[in-house]
Amino acid sequence: MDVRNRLKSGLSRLNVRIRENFLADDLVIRLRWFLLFTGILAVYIGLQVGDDWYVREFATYDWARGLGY
Amino acid sequence: MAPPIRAIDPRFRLGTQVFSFAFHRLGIFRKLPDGWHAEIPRTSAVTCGLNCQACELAWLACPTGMLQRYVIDNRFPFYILGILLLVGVTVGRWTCGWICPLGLVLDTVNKGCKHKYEPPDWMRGIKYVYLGGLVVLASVTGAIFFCRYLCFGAVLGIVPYWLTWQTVSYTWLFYHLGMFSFYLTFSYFTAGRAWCRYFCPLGAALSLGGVFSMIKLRFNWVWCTKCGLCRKACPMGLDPTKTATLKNGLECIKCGRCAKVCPNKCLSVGPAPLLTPGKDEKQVRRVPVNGTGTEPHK
Repeated sequence: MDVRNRLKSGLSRLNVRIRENFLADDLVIRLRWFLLFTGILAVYIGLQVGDDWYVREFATYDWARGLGY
Repeated sequence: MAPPIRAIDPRFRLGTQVFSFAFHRLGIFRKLPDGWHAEIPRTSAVTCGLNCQACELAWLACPTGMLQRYVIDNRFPFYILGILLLVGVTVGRWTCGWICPLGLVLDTVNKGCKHKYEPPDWMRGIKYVYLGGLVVLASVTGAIFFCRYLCFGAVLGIVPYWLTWQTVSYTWLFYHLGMFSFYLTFSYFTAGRAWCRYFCPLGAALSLGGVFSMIKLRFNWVWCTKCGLCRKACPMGLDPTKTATLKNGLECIKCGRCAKVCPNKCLSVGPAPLLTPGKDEKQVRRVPVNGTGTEPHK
């Protein structure tokens, strides 16, 4: 029981620490822009490397048969 | 204090969901007699809603199915991860509340659902296990394992397929109808969005970016009377007044139901500040975590 209480209080402290530091508005805004550019880069690579927006084998793939229907 | 001007009106939600449901099924035109519409392809363009590509009427792919296909084909899913990241960071789980075709089904069920049972909070972690599990299982089994055996949304694929082609194995038809009924019954007795809350791997993927979402729920504590109506209305089982918590950041689908029922209009769904925290945001940061409306008016 003692271990459980210590674990709960530890998690609670961690939650407060994350809330106060990790979710600080400035950091969230900076990370948001960073992740946005990462996402754009990933999509760009996907399009350049694999022409992924319309992969013929995916588009013509019989998903229903693939699912065993 | 008046609610923020730049707010998304939740009254538009049903219309948006119905439009989205129809938009995801534009492939229905393929079924019409010959003409330009017969050429509508079944693309590999991704939509961020649980929209089974096995559906004869679908024309956009579900990211979970596509992700499994990439894994099976040993291709790194730059495209899928990029789209998930982009959607997660821009609108986050807003798509679950406003765009997802299955969200409309669940919201319809939610109208008359009985909130008799509140599952433990740790069950919210199941969707992250599903998200990791679908990648692992796809690579181990070499099949679209998650959609084949576990997905709630597969029923949107198999029923139209059955209705249009009649070539479905009845075992699979009844299996998926059974899975659908199971999740639906669970939703009925807990809350209408139980699938989104506990099981949806797409929701899990979007929630990771949702902390940074550009659309967020905002709370003005000044007028809050702690009536608790927002908490009862929340389909995700959250306390909407605790906007600054990590849990709300991960789970909130921005459906705006809490904003709709709030008698004092303390809650609103709107864009987050893009460059620097605005006045409203600083106010949100002052919300006490373990209770609202108790701070002195400043």
